[in-house]
Formats: sequence, structure tokens, C-alpha cells
Amino acid sequence: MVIRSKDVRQSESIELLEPEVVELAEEAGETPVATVNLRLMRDVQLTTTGKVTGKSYHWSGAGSITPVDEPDVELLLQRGVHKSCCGSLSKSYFEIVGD
Amino acid sequence: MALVTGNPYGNIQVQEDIYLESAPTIWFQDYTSAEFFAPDADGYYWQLTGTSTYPVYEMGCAANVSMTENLTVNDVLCDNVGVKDTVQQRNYLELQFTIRSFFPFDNLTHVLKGGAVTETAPTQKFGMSTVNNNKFWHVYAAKVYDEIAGDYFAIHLHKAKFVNAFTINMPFGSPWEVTGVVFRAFADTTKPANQRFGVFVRSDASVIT
Repeated sequence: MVIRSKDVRQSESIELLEPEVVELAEEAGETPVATVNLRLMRDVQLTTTGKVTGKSYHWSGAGSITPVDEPDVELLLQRGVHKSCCGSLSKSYFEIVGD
Repeated sequence: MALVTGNPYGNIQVQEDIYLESAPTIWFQDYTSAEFFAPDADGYYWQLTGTSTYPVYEMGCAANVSMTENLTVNDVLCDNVGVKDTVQQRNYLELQFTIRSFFPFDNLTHVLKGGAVTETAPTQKFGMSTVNNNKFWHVYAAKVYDEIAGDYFAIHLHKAKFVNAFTINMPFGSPWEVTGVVFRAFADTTKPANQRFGVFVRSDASVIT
């Protein structure tokens, strides 16, 4: 689109406007994935991959919270549950953080 | 005829016919966190409660557990009489043990005075660098001596640090072990004067009524 300036007498100035950029909507077939906030209960800096989605998640230390895609939550909650040497049952690496 | 025993007269505090055996289970937690009883109804600070930020660490498979104290001892010497008295000052308490459980690293690294643990499946790693001298712990060691009644004896140390050099023994045909593990418990000036270093606890409903 070209706009001719009416105020310039000696020379004509032409202002070029960039065509509007129309952002595409979300690609067909992609829907937002629900996430669940998981709090790390272990004293480690943890990086792990979701077994279902293949996404990589990172926790910076004990008490840190990271959103996790819902399909990965169940398997992550089973992580770390095993019998300790002294008979007690260790707890999961994670706990779900309420809304 | 009365039995002649040579016992003293009057009010006598006898000892009970209960004998403790085997080591207590030892736990520790970052000193930054509050104790579970902070304080309890009797004014004592003890027991641990783990949080997501400050978990309680268990010392699995401890062996050769012992507890001792370090005192400054000075005699009061009178040149005309000799030693009339001995003045003592408690410097610290120590809980010493060997551990035969190595994993996970999040427990082991503190025993070895190591660094933060990084975990990227399937590995865990931590570095050995300079000792962090600002790291203190609550320590809680409990021994259940009647598992049916739930009677137990516990020792709680308020402010302890892993001190001294460790040794990792790797013998043939026997489990690896970390020896030289020492918790040194210092006076905690934030606690009342009657429990500067720690607290001894006993729970026994059949005897303590």
C-alpha cells in the first residue's frame, strides 16, 4: 500500500507500509496438554524424561516444582518407591502440588 | 530374720532389669529446619519431621555405633592438700559409626562431605571439593527396645557436623563400608541451657506412668 504525502511540495515522499502479518492459529490437531505440578522430594538436581511423552523435565533441588504433562505423571510418581535396608518403605521422588 | 545385704538405708533409686542391645537407627536433617517438637510440652526440642525442602536422611545399616563426649578437665590443685576438685566443661558430644549402605547418593554425599547430587537417569553424580564448614545437622538416633509395646529410647543432638576423615573399606567377600563417620554435636546457643547439646528421650508406658 502506498501513501503519498500531501504536504511535501518539492519532492514526493512515498511511505511503504509493511504488509500485515497474519499469525496462524494453532495447527489443526494440536490441543493443549494438561499439566500437573510435581514437587521433588529428594535432595538432588534431577533431569528426567517422561516415559509417555518423551519430554524432558528438570528439577533444581529438593522442594522445587515443575509442571509435568499429565500422561507422564503416573510413572513419575512410582519412581523411587522401594524397600529400604532397615525395613521401611521409601517414598516417591515426587508429590503432587495442589492448585 | 531379715536378709543382710549391706544395702544403704532410706530412699534408694534402683536400676531396672531392662537391657538395651543392638544399635539405634540414625537419621539426620538440615539444621535449618525446625525440630518436630520445638518445643514439646516439657520445653524440650527433639524429633525430626522431613519436608520437601529438608528431607530426613536415614543412615541405613549402621555398625559399630558408639557415643562419647569430649571434656576439658582441669584439677583444682592446692599445694598444701593436693587435688581438691576437678573442674569439667563439656566441649561436644560425638556419635560415631560405620555405614554399609552406600546408596542413594543423596544420603552418601553428606556423610562424605561431598557436593550436591545431580541425577540424570540412569546416573547420579556428586563432586568432591572443599568441605563446606557451614553445614550443620539435627541428629536423631532411636532404639525401640520393646517392639510389641512400642517402648523406645532416643538421642537427639541439636547441632552436629560430620567431622574427621572417612575411610571406605572395600574388602574381598565382605560389604564395602564407610568407617570414621563421626557426628560432632556442638552447643546450640538457641536452645535452653538445660539442653544445649541435645536431649535423651525414653518412652515406656508400662514403667513411666
